[in-house]
Amino acid sequence: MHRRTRWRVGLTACLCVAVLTAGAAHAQAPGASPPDARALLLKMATLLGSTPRLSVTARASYDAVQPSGQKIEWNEVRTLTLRRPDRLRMEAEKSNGARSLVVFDGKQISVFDESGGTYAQAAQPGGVDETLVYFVRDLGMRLPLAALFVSRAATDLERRVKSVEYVEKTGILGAPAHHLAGRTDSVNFQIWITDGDQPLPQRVVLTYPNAPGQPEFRAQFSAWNLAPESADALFAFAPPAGTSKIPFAAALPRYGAATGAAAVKKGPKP
Amino acid sequence: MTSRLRSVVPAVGFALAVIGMLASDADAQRGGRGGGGGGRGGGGGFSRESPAASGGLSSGSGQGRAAGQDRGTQGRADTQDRSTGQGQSGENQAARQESRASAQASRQQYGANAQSSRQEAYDDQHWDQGKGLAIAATGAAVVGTVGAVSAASAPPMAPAPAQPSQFTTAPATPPPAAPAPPCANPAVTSAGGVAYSKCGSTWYTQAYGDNGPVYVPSAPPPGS
Repeated sequence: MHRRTRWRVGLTACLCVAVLTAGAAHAQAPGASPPDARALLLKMATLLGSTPRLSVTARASYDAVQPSGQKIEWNEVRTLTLRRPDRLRMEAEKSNGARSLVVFDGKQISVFDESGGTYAQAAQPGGVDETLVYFVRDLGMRLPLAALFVSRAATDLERRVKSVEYVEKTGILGAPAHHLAGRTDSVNFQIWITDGDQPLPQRVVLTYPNAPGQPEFRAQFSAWNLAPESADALFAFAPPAGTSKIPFAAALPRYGAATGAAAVKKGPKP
Repeated sequence: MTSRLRSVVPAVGFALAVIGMLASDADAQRGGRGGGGGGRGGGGGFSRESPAASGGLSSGSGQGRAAGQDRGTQGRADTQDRSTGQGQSGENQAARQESRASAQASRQQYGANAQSSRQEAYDDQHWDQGKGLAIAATGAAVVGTVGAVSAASAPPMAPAPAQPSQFTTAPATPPPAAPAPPCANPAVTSAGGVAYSKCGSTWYTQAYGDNGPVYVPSAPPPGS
């Protein structure tokens, strides 16, 4: 009896070792090395940068670390329609119901705030690429993940991504996707890219490790369309009656550094 | 007597500890809500300001800010220098030729600068880090505080008249109230198509910041 028990224990141990060994071998063996993460990332960026038209909806959120140290997550939904070389429309709704609209009509940039009944306009400096840079960098406006929508996205990522690794292949988001993790010089990112001949991003997580509390930005993409309806009317903005035009804050001179007249003159061109 | 004292002391200590915890919690909440700059704060006054809001692949945290604005200022200064150079043409032919040559050189220089500017935009690997709002953020921090203080006493804003929506989708959440003015009863003046609001001795103008319209401290309107 005692000998039989010892035999059973030995057999169980052997089976366990065999199963674990087989599992380890399975994790390494099939397909041998994982797919090239950088190649996958650049393939996605090349597709996004070269498609003449696209539309997508992004459910995004970000952390705002409060002075108390508590993190608050703010949510928003953005729908972007882009038609190269120079048209873009983005509708956004924040979690508090505030809705805004950004339109590049080829000649000027218009931004509209629904609840305030105000809008701002500035001359469009060029195509979508130049305008996105001007809009985000110089006017200081928000357009999250704008770097993915410039035509040179692949070149941009190639230069800015210091390292990127393959995490796993997963179907947990709905369609088979490659989960990658990488770093730029100041942001850690994770991205889930659809497997197949249309490598579009399904989800992005950005972590800001140098900022207090290491806040994150998250976006879940849906309704990708690389051939959306994109008539000119979609990219036209006519200020609704009763709304007021205001300048971009970044275009105002610093308070005390100039007169009010200068503030008006240096505001965005009509 | 001693035993009663022994039972009262822990009870008082516990009560003080609870009061202390409640007080610190209230302080924390006040601290959290006090930071609500950025124009329209979130529900309950929580701040929406965050480096993560930009959704950029670069972060300005710990790095120099407003580099883009510095470049813009530099660009304007260059243009002014060139204008000044053109204005100093000579009186004789040699001087005019020199002036023409100078103008041509200036145009070439301008073209080169414009090209360089575009190239710079391509070379800038931090263009999406959300750094262009230094001015707005400064103003908004002040006005946000004033607005938060005055919000309770400010009269409710009249709802905007119904009109065709600019949006292709229906809202998921009822829209919030319009941004409150910088104080309860500002003196509003319009000049050059811009509305100025005066609260005490400070003038404000409304401007579009990264998080929507905000009131920014401004110089007085022309002629005031």
